[in-house]
Amino acid sequence: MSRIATAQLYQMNQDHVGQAREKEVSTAEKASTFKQINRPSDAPTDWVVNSNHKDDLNMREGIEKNASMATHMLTVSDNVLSQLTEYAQRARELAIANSSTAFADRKLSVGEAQSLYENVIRALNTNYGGKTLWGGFKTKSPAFDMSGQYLGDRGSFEIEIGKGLIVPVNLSAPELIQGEGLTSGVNIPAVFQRFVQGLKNNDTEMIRGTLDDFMKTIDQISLGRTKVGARQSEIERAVDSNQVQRIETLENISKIEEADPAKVFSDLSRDQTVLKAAISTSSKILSEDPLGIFFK
Amino acid sequence: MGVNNIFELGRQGIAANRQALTTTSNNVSNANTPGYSRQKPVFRANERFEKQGMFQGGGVDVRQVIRIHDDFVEKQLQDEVKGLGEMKFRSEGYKHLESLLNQDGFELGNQVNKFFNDYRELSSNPEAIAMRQQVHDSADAIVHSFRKLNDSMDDMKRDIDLRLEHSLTEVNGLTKELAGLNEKIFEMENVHQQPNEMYDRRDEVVRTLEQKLGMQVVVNGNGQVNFGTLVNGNEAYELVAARTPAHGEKGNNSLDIFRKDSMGMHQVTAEFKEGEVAGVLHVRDQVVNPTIARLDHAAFQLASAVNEVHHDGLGLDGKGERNLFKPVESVEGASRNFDLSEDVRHSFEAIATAREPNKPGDNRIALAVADLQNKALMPTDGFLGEGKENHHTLNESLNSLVGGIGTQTAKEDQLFRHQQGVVGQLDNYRQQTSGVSLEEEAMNMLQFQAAFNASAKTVKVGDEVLQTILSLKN
Repeated sequence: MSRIATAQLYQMNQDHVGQAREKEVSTAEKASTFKQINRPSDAPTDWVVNSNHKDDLNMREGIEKNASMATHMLTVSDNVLSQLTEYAQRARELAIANSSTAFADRKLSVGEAQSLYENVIRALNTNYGGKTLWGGFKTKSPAFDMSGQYLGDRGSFEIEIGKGLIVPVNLSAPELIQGEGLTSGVNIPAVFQRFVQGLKNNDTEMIRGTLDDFMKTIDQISLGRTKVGARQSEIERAVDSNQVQRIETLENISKIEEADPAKVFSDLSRDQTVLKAAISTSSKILSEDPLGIFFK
Repeated sequence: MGVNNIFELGRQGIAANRQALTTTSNNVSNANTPGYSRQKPVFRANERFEKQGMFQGGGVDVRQVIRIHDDFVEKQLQDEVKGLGEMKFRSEGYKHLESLLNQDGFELGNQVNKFFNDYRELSSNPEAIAMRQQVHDSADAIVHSFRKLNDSMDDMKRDIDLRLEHSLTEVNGLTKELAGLNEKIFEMENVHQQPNEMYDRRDEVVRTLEQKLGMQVVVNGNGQVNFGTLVNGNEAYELVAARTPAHGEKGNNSLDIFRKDSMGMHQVTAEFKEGEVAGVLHVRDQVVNPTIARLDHAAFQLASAVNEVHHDGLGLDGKGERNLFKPVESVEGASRNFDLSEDVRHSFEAIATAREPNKPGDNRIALAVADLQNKALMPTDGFLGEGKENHHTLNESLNSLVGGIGTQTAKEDQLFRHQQGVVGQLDNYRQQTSGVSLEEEAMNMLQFQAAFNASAKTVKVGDEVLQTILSLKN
């Protein structure tokens, strides 16, 4: 049988109550934060994995913002192309009408044709968020001057729309507007200019010559809209994939970090009971006064 | 048998039991004294003597009061407290560092992440001044985070050095006391006295010294306790701390420990392999310093990698060949000296986004900077070096630094708790043998009181017998 010294008795009770209190405080921390990892040492590997997940999540949120901006830019570019199609179709209608009408009627159409040309230039100088869409990297000045001269460059403005996935979000004016590098490409502002000139000069041949070019213009714009559509689809896919990964990452973070409320509260209740029992036992043991008992 | 003898035997009984009661009272009063060993009176019957052909009892005497003590357990306890002292401080040190890194370090990781995210956002709008301001602010936040973390760790090192100085002051007091106890105990033993309280105090002093310094304890030929190179019999040598240049793992201007003796000062820092001081030195030199070094490597690589890309780019003002962060000359001190470049500090337009001039929408450099976030820039161990391959991004490296400290914190805490358990168990063994039990003492008191009363009664009976004899004459 072991001998128990009085100081030992107090120390043992102190240890028991201290351990029960420590356990209760630790569980209470989990209950109040709903987290099972409150510091790296709680679960170092999980903490690192979670931190990397959180960094990834922040990056994906930034990328989503970019993707959203890219989508808007492409939508605005598509609107411009849609407007250009309308202008080209109207110009072609005018060209058909004016290829055989009298000079007096042609004069009447000059104003509308000139206005169509100006609208084309205005549309090509469309600004999105302070950025000229068709100027390549020259985003702070108009892409075309009123004479139809291109003032921009060939800069391909790219945006990261998925982790490591970078896509161009501006359309190349030299290619799609000026027809450079395209088989049977046309310089769209020049076509409109020629049409206006034909009307002004009462040059039927010149007007007729634009009919085919307006068709090519419409085809060229369609090509641009196809490109816009393809890029938008690519962005949508990237955004969808990003969102799926974000949700998965969030789920992983939650699984690793969050405490199961039912378990935490049942643990807390258990730990509180253990603490009460430890205090109550200690009070019973320590309230005995050996000298008092023997010498009363 | 003479009546006088009854008086003598009664007197001896009273004296012996009074002595025993005194010892019991002493035990009771020291029930909570740390290191106290309960004492026990050793009763011895005096030799019988012959008178008029009859043998008579010689009475009782308390020959000595012994302390109940187990040298083996005490030795084991002294050995184990060395580890406890070291582990306690290591565990506390890691916890402190973990809490710093969990707050400031996590913040730094977030800021690095935010900087790259902001640069990515700037890439989608390189013309916008507001976005540049955002990049400028997040870069500045990294500067502050690096410095704050560095300052916090410098503060921690200062606190550690302060703790070291306090420990040494305490140690010097204890070694002086041990030498004094050695001297007094030797003198008392020479006159055949047993200074029980001094033995207890010496054990307690040695135990505390072991906990602090973990040096070797040897009992010399005179029964005196020598403690490492600090106490030799009656002589104690002082330890002093002094700031010295960097050597080994010790940083510049941190404290080194010297032993002062008649020959001068001897550097003894490396002699402390166990105990609290070893724990203090371990945390300062092998935990905090490498953590600062890892931060330096991360800061160096961040500044170098960003500057390398940034330098090739042009700001909104069309100018190039400028750094975003102040160029860092060497890895050492990179996190402390981390700063924005003068160009960027004074102008948002100096933040490079373009590769070619006069192209405000050119975002190629901005994309390249943002891409650094996903580039493997750091080796696995977080220390850059010739021929080492980089496998981790900056953020992964910073996260692994904090996670690594977390792993160590959990490990050190477990070791400390285990050691606490071992020492607690040994202390229990010691208490089981040497500790005072009030119940036991209460019963002893009753026992000695009864014997004391009975001896007094013997004197009274002797007195009555003597009165009866005297009355016979009348």
